[in-house]
Amino acid sequence: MLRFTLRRLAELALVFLGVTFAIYAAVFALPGDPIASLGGDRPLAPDVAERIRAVYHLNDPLWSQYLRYLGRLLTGDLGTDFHGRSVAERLATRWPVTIRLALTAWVIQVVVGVGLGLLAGLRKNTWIDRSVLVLTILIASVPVFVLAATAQLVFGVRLALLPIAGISDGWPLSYLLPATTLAVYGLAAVARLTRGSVAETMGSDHVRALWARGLSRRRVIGIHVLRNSSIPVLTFLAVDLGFLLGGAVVTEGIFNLPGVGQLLFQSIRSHEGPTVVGIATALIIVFLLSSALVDLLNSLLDPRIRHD
Amino acid sequence: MKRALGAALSCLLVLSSCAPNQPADEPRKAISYAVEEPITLHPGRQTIAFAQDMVLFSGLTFAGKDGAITFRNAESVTSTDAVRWTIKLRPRWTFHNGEPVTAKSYVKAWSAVAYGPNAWENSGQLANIAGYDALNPANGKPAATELSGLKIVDDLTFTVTLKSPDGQFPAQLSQAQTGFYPLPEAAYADPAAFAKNPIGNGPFRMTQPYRETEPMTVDRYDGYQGPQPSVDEITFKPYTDMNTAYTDVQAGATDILYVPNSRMGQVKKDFGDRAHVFQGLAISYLGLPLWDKRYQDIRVRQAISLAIDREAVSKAIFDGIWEPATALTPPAQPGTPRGLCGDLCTFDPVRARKLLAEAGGFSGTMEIRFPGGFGRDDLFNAYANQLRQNLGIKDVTAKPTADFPEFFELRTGAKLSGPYFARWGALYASQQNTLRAIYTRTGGCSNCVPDHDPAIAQLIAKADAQVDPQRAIAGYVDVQKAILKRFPAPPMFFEKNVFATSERIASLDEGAGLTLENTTLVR
Amino acid sequence: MTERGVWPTVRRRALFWLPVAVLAVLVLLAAFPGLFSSVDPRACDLSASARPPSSGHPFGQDLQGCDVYANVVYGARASLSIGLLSTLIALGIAVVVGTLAGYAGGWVDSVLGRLTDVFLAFPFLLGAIVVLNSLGRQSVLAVALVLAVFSWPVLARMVRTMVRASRDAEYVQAARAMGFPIRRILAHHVLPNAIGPVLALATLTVGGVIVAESTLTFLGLGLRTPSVSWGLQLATAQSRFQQAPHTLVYPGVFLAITVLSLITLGDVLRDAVNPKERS
Repeated sequence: MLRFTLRRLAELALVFLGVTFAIYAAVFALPGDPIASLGGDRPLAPDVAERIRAVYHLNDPLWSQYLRYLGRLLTGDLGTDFHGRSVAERLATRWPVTIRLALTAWVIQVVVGVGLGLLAGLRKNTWIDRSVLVLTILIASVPVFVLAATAQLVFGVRLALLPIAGISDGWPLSYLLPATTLAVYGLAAVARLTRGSVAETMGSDHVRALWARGLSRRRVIGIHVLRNSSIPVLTFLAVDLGFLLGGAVVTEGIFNLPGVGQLLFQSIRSHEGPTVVGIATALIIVFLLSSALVDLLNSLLDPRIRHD
Repeated sequence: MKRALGAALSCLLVLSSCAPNQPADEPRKAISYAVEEPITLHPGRQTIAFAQDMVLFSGLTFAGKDGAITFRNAESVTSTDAVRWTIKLRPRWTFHNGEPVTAKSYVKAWSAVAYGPNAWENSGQLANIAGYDALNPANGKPAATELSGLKIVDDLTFTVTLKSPDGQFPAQLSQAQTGFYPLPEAAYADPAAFAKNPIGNGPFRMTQPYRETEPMTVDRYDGYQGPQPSVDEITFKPYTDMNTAYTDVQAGATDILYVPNSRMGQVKKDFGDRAHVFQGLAISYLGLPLWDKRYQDIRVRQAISLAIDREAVSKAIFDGIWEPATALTPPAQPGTPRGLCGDLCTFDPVRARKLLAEAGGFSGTMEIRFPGGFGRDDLFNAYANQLRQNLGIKDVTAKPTADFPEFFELRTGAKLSGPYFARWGALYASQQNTLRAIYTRTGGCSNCVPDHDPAIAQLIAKADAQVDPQRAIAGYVDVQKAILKRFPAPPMFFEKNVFATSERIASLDEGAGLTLENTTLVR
Repeated sequence: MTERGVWPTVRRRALFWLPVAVLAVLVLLAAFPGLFSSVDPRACDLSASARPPSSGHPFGQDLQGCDVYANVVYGARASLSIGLLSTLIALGIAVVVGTLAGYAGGWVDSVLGRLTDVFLAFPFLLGAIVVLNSLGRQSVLAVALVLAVFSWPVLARMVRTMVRASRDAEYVQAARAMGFPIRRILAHHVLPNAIGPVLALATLTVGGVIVAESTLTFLGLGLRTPSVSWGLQLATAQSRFQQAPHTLVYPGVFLAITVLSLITLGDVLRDAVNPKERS
């Protein structure tokens, strides 16, 4: 276990250097001058822009900018954006929003997705199975920006049930609509994967033998079927949690949630290298952790999988 | 002191008792306004916090509806030669911390805004004051720290010497040119802190420092000496996507919103008489790449203007709210010669094809470019369809850039090969602002058509030098006539300011843009 | 595992023929749009902006006054190409990377696993801007490539997990003991048992990619006129879909039908192939 952890940590350090540089280079490669457009569609006077450019060393070559960034990072300084706002401070206020949103959406996916999948898998090829399929696919065929806007109109304007923008009503009220919207897109996958695995496990010799031994339906399904079907579902759910934590750019934007996705979007548009790298770094850690966790869980669930 | 503290404390304990001069039974009049994240509230630096700064501060002059200039913090702004201006302040004005507003509050602030090494975004607004260049040398640190063109006469009087005569100076001092605001002493010690918690001389004051992503509430300032506002409290709610704000106003969660382009087509249906259409200070052109051979024949440019049915485009995309442009400046700028463009700004596809044929036709593809993520896709797609169908050019596409930085680079680097987004939103109500921005080299509209003819610049300078407003207007009309003879790019639309309000709001005050503090509520 | 058994099993099932018929029509649409619509999708009449279905315009007209039906017909080619192409590319990469990592384990697994993590964590939006810019044009191929680059990691993780789970199964160990070459073991024993969830995810990816294309356009990065695609239609319809729902509904329904057909077909085939489930 310790070796496993240490190795993953060493890998993390390498991946970290690679990715931060790649992202820094990508932001550097974005076409156009971020400073001239600081004033929106009313461009800054050229000499003012030039002064600001000097403040942020934007005329230096890529490697020198990156090294300066890394050097500061080692002292725990995540840098500032072009308006002088601290990246660390901005991230600190935004992560909690994204984490709340992601976890809420994820839990909805787990409960509803696995539930629907189980239902469909146990009633394979019946009308229940087909309705689950059609329902989950139909909703996921609507682009997120349309679904979000429709949800706002129906639940916020017509029915006036839920807040549609911002976080001033706190969790869960402010997060219900966006989390549900977000969850819909993973739902189809979770349900399909669960259905497939459950159906397969139900037909396996192992489960047939359990039926033959006269075990109760609840016990067979609850323990044996679910457990043996969970590997692909878990694998997907882990990646999905990572994606959700990566910040839902469109959903956060439309529901006006001040999360990381929104920040990432704005930072890319305004070419704020340090902010983008800051967000992506945290994400890498999330994905590394999630892949390690899945390996661990899978080997616990299925003792046949070796742990190396 | 003790009493003030006590008042402040009771203020904190019972919010409603903060409202001064008000019978206890009358509820506080509070409104909320949807804004973009302001980033900074420092008047010398802000580029998107206009709404906030315009209630926290008061400028020397004030532009009302139709651009009429009245004096606000100034008692008078006078000159005989348009070069040397004398500004007298009204007495007894104070900042929110009690500090008197004096000539020094202005002179020191303007020097700070203009001081190059500060790199404050609004310094360009002061570029015509004598001594500006000394504060902004091409290389190195400036020797001076103060604008040599500013002289304090007494506590309430100072003089301004300009580099070149400018009769529009009083209009330049109006509310949206926040670089001309006064600053209290407290602004200099820690500009970053001041940017989050500014102390102004306007009708409202901060209740707590601004924090990113959080709503910000400002409160009526008792000591304000200007016209009294009709509301007690304004909350600015930040949104990243104004389409969301639109829906939030529909839901009644926010009171007032500047409607984004993408919702203009439906705002009248959604809001009925709660949709308010005001004159705007912005004009949209269709920029043309004059550096490309195919666009150098004036007949091609005229053909493009004639081939677009402005009425139909506005009707389909903006529900007819935008007005087809018939002059080179927006009508909210006094004296704008509506109709001056004449036939060339009407829809005449037959003449368009004829002109294009006379000019030798058009070869190759026409790629229209515009900044993406700005809600203008439908507009530019409509332009593309119109040009393709009415000029008979086979391949016309409308393609957005990834963002503004990319667009600016393509435009200023002359790397565009087709028509493009060109627009100027003026900050003060004078034709000078729009004409100067677009048609002079140092004007600052770097998304506009680079047609910088010295003769035009001279004509503008001639109009600038007029002290008499009517003669200045006549001068600017002459400028427009001269430009139309060159026809560098077709003016397309007089944009409008459209606001939507919740059911709580009874009326909005147009002003130049919107005078938020004069909003009235439904009883 | 006998391929010979598949055809007799499926050919009597209505559930096989239905999606096949739908997909055949869609492929025809994509290949010969002119057969289905005589209207030019780019002939637009601004004065008929957002007009609901009428004679001559069965699906109505969009904001620019273009015929929605013609756009749906002509859009099939780009949308199906993007959906299938990028899913195939992603699936190809995923199967190679995932199988290698899952079967070999050790440092190979570490390297490929972390590579996958890097692609997962790299901000999609940033990648899309940089890739699309360096390719210069927002063509169907470019968009398909961008979407593939960002969809393979999920599939790869799934392949890897499933390969790992079946690598040590008795029948695989038996095959190894019998000295079969690795390629044969992978192709005949490991992959068939691992592919179920992967295919389920892949069929969903086709739809996901077509929808993602519209999100790219919504964010200002995807296809643009004069291209015609369902994603483009969805993205441009969003600004006015409350007044003109028909501009959104028709391309949306075609998209949903495509995905449903693919999934159903995938299910039927899988049931027919999978030895454990054939009853």
